[in-house]
Amino acid sequence: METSASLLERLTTRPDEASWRRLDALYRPLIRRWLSGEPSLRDDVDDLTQDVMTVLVRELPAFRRQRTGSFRRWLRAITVHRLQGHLRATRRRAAVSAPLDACPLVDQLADEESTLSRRWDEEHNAHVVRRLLELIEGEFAATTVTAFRRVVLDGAKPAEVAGELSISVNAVTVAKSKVLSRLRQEAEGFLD
Amino acid sequence: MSLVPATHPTAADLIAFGQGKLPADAVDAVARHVETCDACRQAVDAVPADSFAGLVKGAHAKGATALPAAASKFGASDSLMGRATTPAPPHGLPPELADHPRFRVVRELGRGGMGVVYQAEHKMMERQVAIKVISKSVLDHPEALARFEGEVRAAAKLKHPNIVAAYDAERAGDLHMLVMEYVDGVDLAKVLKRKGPLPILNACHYVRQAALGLKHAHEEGMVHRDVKPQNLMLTPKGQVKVLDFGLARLASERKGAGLTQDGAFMGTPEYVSPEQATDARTADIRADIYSLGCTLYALLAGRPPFAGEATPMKQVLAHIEKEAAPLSEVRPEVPAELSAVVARMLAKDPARRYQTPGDVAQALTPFCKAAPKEAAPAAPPGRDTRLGGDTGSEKALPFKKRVDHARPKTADKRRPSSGNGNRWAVLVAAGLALPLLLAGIILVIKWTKKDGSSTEVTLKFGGDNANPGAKAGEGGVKPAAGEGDGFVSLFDGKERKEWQASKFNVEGLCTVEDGVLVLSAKEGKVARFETRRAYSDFHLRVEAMNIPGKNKTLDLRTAVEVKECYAVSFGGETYDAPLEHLAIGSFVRETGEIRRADWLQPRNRVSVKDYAWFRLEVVARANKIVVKVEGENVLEYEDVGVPWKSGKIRLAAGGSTPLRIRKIEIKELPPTKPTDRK
Repeated sequence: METSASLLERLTTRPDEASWRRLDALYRPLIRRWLSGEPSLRDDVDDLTQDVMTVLVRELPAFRRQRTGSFRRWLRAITVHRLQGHLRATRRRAAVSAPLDACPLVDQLADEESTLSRRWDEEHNAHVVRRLLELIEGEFAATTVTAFRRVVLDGAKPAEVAGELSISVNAVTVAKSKVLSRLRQEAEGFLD
Repeated sequence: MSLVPATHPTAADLIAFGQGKLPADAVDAVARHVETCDACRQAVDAVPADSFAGLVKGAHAKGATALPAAASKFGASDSLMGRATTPAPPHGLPPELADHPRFRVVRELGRGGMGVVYQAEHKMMERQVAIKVISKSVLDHPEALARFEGEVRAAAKLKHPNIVAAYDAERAGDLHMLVMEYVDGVDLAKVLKRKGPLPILNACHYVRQAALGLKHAHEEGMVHRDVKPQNLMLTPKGQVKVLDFGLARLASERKGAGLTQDGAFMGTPEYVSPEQATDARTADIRADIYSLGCTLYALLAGRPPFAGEATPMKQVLAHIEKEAAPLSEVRPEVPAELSAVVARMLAKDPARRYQTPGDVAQALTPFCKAAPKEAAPAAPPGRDTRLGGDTGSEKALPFKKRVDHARPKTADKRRPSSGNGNRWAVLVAAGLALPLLLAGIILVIKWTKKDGSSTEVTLKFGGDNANPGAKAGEGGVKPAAGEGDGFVSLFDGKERKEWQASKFNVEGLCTVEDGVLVLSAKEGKVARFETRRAYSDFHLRVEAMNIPGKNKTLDLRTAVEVKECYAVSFGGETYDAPLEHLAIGSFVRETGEIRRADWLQPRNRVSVKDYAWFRLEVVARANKIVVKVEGENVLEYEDVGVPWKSGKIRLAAGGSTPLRIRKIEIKELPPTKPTDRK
């Protein structure tokens, strides 16, 4: 896999299947988990997740081109849009005029300032770095990954980790920086 | 400071490497070096973790299953990073800081509402820093934490000699810290307390520097929201640095619970602007200008304008309702011109203040005459440099001695230079007497800068070939006529003569201020001004300011009824945008009946900063109307009904936020046949 451009950049300039798979692996679980949070959507979570992912994939190049804000807000907007469409369709099928606040998830997500929207932003970022780390780990030797995790995630001292892994302190520092660089680079554009 | 000999990677590269910021193609070379060089490895280890590393760590601390499982839990569950933890000891150094791997705390510098500030030394880099440990009570909820980091990240982008640099948000265990530039100095509140009113020259010089700092922040899209003497640090060299960018909001969130509802109040009662006190969300950079005005007032008078009020709440109300005693009365040697500058900074209506910190700095320049020029913010040696001793002595204040013949020349060219220094103040006083609700009214006071050149130029669109005229808009308005591209200017930068009140104008005003055409109306009213003649097919080019608030609208081909027109709306609040923050609004064929249904959403979005000037273009050909923002098509509308063929162009601004246009020009196009007619 090419590693000199961020995932977002690869997807918008020279997308390949591996990149699309990575995007899917990155975002599908997040969307799914969010939608699962709304009881009234329970039966449609998979379909809706697919809907959102479809729009995401279709609109991504345009997002990159005319980027006007953060990715997470854009994603939230797509989700809200799809959910609104879904609710309208459901109401039409049910042929009743359901009250508009039938889905608090949508209303709250549609509101930029709601607690839920802010939480969306936070959890989006946390999810992206956590999941992306998992996804890029395969690009590194196991020792490198362990050194990174011990130092950055556990806060262990490099000397200590060097002892554990029987590598030099320098190698620990390098491991930490390399994985961090790669993670930062791969995440670029998603977290702004 | 040189970390490594020349053959090693540069210190900057090592830091970037340590934070994972080095470009991918440079990583390997540095990595190879660090593999074998202990000195560089140590330097890398000493690099402070930045917010990204914090995010990575925080994200994992939560565990992979921490996302809320059900919407019903969203309100209460706390899956995020800011978990409640055991509090640090109320006094003494928190253990996380005491054995911090990178920082050695030197001493406590002070305590405030936000937390405790320490002076510390970065062990490896041998750099002095100030570390503000944010109270847990401030960051006790995840939103505050996220906002804290966001604000710090934004503040870290500010680099200016008159701003205390923020380096990073940092976590040590459960401690949240802001690492920032250590300033060897004292805040102006302490100076004021120690010495009472400052010499006029010094006060103006300090406040002007603060204005330059705010100007830089404003250009980066930031406001301070808590400008006051406590937040202005004075160095021994006489340099002033604005402190605590981005933190006001956090502090207010905590206070907010006690005072009023969300966002309703932030700031400091003695220094808060009326609009910020009323609805903090509407407060923009001009609120900072007001607070800076209070600060200058305090530095000159020895106390802020409404210090006499008994309680903080009364002080806040006074900002909204009362007039400050004119500075020249409180301290007679303050020249009338300076008193007027302060009065303008303290105008209740933001529209009547200086509109940018740059304008303030310029207005204060004449009063800093003896101080060095723009290029050197520091005071000249020997002037008020000894904070421990007495302030700049009176002999160091040539301005005061020369006040009568050293009148500022740039403040107002149009006003005769003597005799009626108070007339302006009287006019303003009349303006101030208006209740806040009338804030939209703009008095026609020609108190403009000499050349109007320092308007908010945040134009960033490079490579603009499509619209050569746009560049001409920088730094003031230049008529488009004569450019040879067929466009005719509808505003010459001086008078509004092309624009007449529409019969639908509801108590609105149309004025020219500093080369800008301003439409304004008070709350509940609408300013509507229109061209003298009708246009059918045309290309309209506008440079307007993106002011958030009520809708600002260009109505095209207006007809008999007010809503019979094509309307291009922006900056509005009624527009329900499902995608993204509103940059440019909507476009509609407005009639009473189909208004909502036909309320179109832009296909493309072009982001325009709040209060930035942007280019808005409309090309109307028969039933097709195309709207462009910054040269990009955002909307293409085809009226498949019976289109309005011709009509006047009308500008409209509702509510309390004005429409500001610095350039508007039109080219008529040969008629074309409608397409796709039913």
